[in-house]
Amino acid sequence: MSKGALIVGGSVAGLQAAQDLADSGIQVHLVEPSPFLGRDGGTTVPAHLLNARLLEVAKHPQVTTWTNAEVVRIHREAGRFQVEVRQHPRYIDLDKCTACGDCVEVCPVHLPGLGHPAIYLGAGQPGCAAIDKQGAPPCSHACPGGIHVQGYVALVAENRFQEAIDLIREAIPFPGICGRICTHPCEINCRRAEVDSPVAIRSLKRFLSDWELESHDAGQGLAGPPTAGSKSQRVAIVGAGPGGMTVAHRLAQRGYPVTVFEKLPVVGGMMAVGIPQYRLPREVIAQEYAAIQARGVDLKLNTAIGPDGNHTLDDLFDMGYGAVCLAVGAHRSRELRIPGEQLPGVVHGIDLLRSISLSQQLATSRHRREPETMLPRGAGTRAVVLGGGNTAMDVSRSLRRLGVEDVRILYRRTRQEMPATEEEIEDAEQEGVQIEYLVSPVRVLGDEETGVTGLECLRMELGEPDQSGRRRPVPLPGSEFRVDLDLVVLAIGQAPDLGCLGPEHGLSITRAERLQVDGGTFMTSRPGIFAVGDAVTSDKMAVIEAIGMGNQAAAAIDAYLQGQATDSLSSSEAEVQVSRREMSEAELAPKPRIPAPVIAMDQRLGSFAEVEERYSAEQAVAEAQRCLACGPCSECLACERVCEPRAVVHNQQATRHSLEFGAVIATNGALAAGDGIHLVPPEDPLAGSAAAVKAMFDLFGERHTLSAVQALPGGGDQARIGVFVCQCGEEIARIVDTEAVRRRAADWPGVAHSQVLRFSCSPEAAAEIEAAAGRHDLSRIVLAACSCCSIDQVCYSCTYQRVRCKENLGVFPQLAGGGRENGRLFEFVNIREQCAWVHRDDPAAATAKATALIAAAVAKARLTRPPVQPAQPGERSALVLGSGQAAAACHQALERQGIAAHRLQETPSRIERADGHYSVAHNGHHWRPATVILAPGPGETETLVAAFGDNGHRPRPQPAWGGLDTQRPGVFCCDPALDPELAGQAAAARAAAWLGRPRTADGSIAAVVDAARCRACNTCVEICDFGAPRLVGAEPDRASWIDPAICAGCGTCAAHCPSGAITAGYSTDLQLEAMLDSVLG
Amino acid sequence: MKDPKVIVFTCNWNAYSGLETAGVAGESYPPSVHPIKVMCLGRLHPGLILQAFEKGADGVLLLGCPPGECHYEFGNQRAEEVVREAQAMVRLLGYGEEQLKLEWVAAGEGQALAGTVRAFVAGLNGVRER
Repeated sequence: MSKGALIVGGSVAGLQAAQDLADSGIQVHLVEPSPFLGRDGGTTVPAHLLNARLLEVAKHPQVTTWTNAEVVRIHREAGRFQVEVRQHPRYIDLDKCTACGDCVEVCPVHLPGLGHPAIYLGAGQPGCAAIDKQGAPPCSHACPGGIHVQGYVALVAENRFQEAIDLIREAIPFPGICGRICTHPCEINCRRAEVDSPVAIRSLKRFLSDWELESHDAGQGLAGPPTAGSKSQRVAIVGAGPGGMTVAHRLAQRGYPVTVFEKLPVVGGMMAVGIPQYRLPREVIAQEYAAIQARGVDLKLNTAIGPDGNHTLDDLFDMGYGAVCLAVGAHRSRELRIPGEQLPGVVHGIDLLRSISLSQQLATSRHRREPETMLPRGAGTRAVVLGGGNTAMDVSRSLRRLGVEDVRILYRRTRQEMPATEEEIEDAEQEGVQIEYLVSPVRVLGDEETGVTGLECLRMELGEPDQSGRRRPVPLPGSEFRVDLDLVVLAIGQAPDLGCLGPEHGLSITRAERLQVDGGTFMTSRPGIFAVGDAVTSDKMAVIEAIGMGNQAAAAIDAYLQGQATDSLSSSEAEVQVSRREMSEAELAPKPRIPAPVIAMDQRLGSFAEVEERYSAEQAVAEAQRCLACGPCSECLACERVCEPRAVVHNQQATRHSLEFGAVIATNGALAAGDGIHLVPPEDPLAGSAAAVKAMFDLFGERHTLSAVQALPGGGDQARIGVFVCQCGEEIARIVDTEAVRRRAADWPGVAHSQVLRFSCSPEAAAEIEAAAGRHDLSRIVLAACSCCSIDQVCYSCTYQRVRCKENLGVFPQLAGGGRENGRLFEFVNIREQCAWVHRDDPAAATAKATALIAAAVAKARLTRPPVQPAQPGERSALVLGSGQAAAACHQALERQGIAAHRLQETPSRIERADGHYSVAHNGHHWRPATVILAPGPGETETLVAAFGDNGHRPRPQPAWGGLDTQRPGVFCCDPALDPELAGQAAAARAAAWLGRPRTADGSIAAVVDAARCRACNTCVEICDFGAPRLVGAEPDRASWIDPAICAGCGTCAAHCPSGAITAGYSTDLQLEAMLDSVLG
Repeated sequence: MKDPKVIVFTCNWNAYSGLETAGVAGESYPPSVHPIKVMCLGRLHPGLILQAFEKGADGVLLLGCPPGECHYEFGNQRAEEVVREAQAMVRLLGYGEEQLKLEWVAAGEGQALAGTVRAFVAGLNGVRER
């Protein structure tokens, strides 16, 4: 079955078409690519009228609105359109956003030329925030640790250092370590490189970490309160490197008691024994580890796990640990497998680095002297380092610091293929390390007595790419040569030392000699034993990757211990798109990178002092301002943190919807022209209506006229009033003492209950009100918030939130079969704009005024009676009057929809309103159409409108929406100056809409005549321009009757009724007097 | 002197949206000004206006849509007639002409509305002493 009409493009034409179709009883889906309806410029419709129309359409029960949406596929078959709509995320919950704008204030992303931050409140509806996020920023997407990289860079650019470091800490526990030694995939992916060079992201992190230490007393800010211990199951971690320690940190945060067993006498794993101090001072490791230990993680040094160690794996379970995570690293150096490798003078790089590190960290004389014993000739040693990774650089630069003059690196390929980071290679070169490329060792020369004396090598050239994608080095025949040396250091890779676990560990091992784990949960082949870091991957693992793995493994261990399925963890991650946003010329202006400060060369070679220094705050801010804001949303999450109603949802995902329609209207440019698609210019409301009528043809037979459900009579005569005072978060509560107001209200006569609400426009608040109403048997609800009227209309000042609030509360008349029918009577009073905001400098006066206005609303509510309105006939008949060319088009368009339409080319003598119809008499004929369309020929307008009576009653076209509507409800006029075909069809659409509109609205705004007091003086009939009142009945019972389908509720008739027989709809005289008593009393 | 008590009757359309916009913009006026909303100024009759004075208002200000912009087309014209009538009555009762006024406010003109209200209140200075 068809689902009605699809309209693509929420411009004026689209809105008009949606309104006409929906009113006429057709289901409409309105799809708008931008986050806001009605944002296209160029309309002549005044802003306040457009806003009211937008909200009318948005709240229409027959309209489904899709913003941030696009039609990705449309296919017509057998008169039906199969349509696929892609709903892009807005990242805002439209049920919760209160448009307070707090998020906009804290957003750090400002793009040149955009005019607003990445999160913003646009003109148009829905009047809720939207986030401009075109995908994940490339930097953040590249970070294995899950850091919101662009986020903290954006915060640094705004001098918001604490927020920036907090954001990093949410993802990783080691900002100081990563700020120094991270391999920074973020910078590698930074789009600034397309212009000049990447943002120095790692240096910014380093700055933040140092700033944090300096701005808190002795790192006090680093250590949170202990969290471990709230859960009973204990977890053992084997290895205190970055991976294991991240697991420990995360599990402690989740409340698990965690013990970390470390074989070495120091913490940090490879970071402490592999990375030299000049890159990573040990105090940094100590500080960041101390913060984790302070959370309640127990760390046992010099404690090995395995058959030869202190405990076996099985022991750990016997000791009561519920899960074990192996993070043993890769501390076994790879062998070269060439002759002479076992000779004295051939050492492994990581062994050398470990000796140096331990000699600097431990006081024992054995440790202190060990590095010297590795250098056969002390400072005069001729050293050759084999390898091209960071270990090779670390070894070479460490040797230079130990005073070794002649340090050479031999690498099989070229500099392009070197795995070491560019900075490391440059630093090594600057420090006097010689690097020779395309050289491969063949044999180590020397003997057991003398140790090594030389190395026989071959020159290489690059051949075809190998499995790793790098070009394979191929020996050049006959290129053998000899290098004289005293020390060979092997730095060609490491593997985990799984031997320590013994032969009985029962764990599956991969061909690459790593522990076999499940890719999503990091669980090994033995349930309860997990593994992370170098022990499981055969790729070279950076610290940030180990941390990222630790984060995921901790979640999996938690799930395992809680007995939850762990296999779902891996698949739940939806595919994330990387933003490739278009950037303007202005944005892409070059701005050179600020180099990180370094210490002088003589200081570098003389010690292991840290080479790189930190940016000054000014440098950090300036460097961060180089960020191009690729997102453009940076995902700093500042908006999420500040949003009290929790309306910001950063992980919203796009969704796809398959829909079927019988008619499609698209504003020009919104959709490619296609068979059967009605295209309209976006800003022409007339064209919108004309397209609507064509869609009505397409959908012939599918219309179902709405019937509104009559509200149940509100709880009887006895007013039991509930007063609800909205705080609007802090928007009202900051100024108005809502609790004091609530207490006062509780004492007023008729008030059975009073209550403060945090956000009255939330679904939760509606549920609270409903519950309280049931509990206290409330018949009338007074809501003091920003909403201001309880009637079924949208005014110039209405907002999305007010409409939402009223919808949640069931204030609007409900369609049969849908929504709630609670029948309570509501009275709303605005204490936000009229008290809290306008008197924000005087909280006491604002509170007093709010109290007075609420008292007035309560006084009014006390006197409210349930409206009694008869149902109106829903006959669908129309009369087209006039000899204009539009008449034929209109008449035909009405008939094609099955509307009983008649056409009269002459001017009737009299047209008046009677019993819910227009009464038209001419030459003895009599018509009773529900709607009248005037299509005057040239010069005919005057005589046609004159048939409606004296001046005030004559239809006058209203210009705003194309000039078809008149002030007389149900009367439309086709100006002869308009294109007759277009105007005739458009008028037919408006007439069909009028006929379809629910006739049994709650009637609370229509005036009512007390026939007993009416003197039939005709004053009301004369005064009303809409023609709602008319005299009915015969003398002596002749009296005025006001047609509720026509009455617009202005109340002017009531004010002018000489006998006081008319009661105005919205507030009676008695109610206005009671309100005056309240505020003046 | 304490701020005079003022009732501001606004229509539901241009004037009310001006009142709202004044709040959004923080365009203040004395808190002794209490707004009461009616659908249209045409809904008011002299009796209601006199009641406001009788119940203790120092001033009554009617704010509605400018000529030609009435949501109901004709209500603001009727209001003009009503206010002229009411002004004659309150003068007879001894109130000054500054104490009852009708002013127009365009949609969303919060600043203009607040200015109009402030000017009206300022014009009441000394009323209480009388």
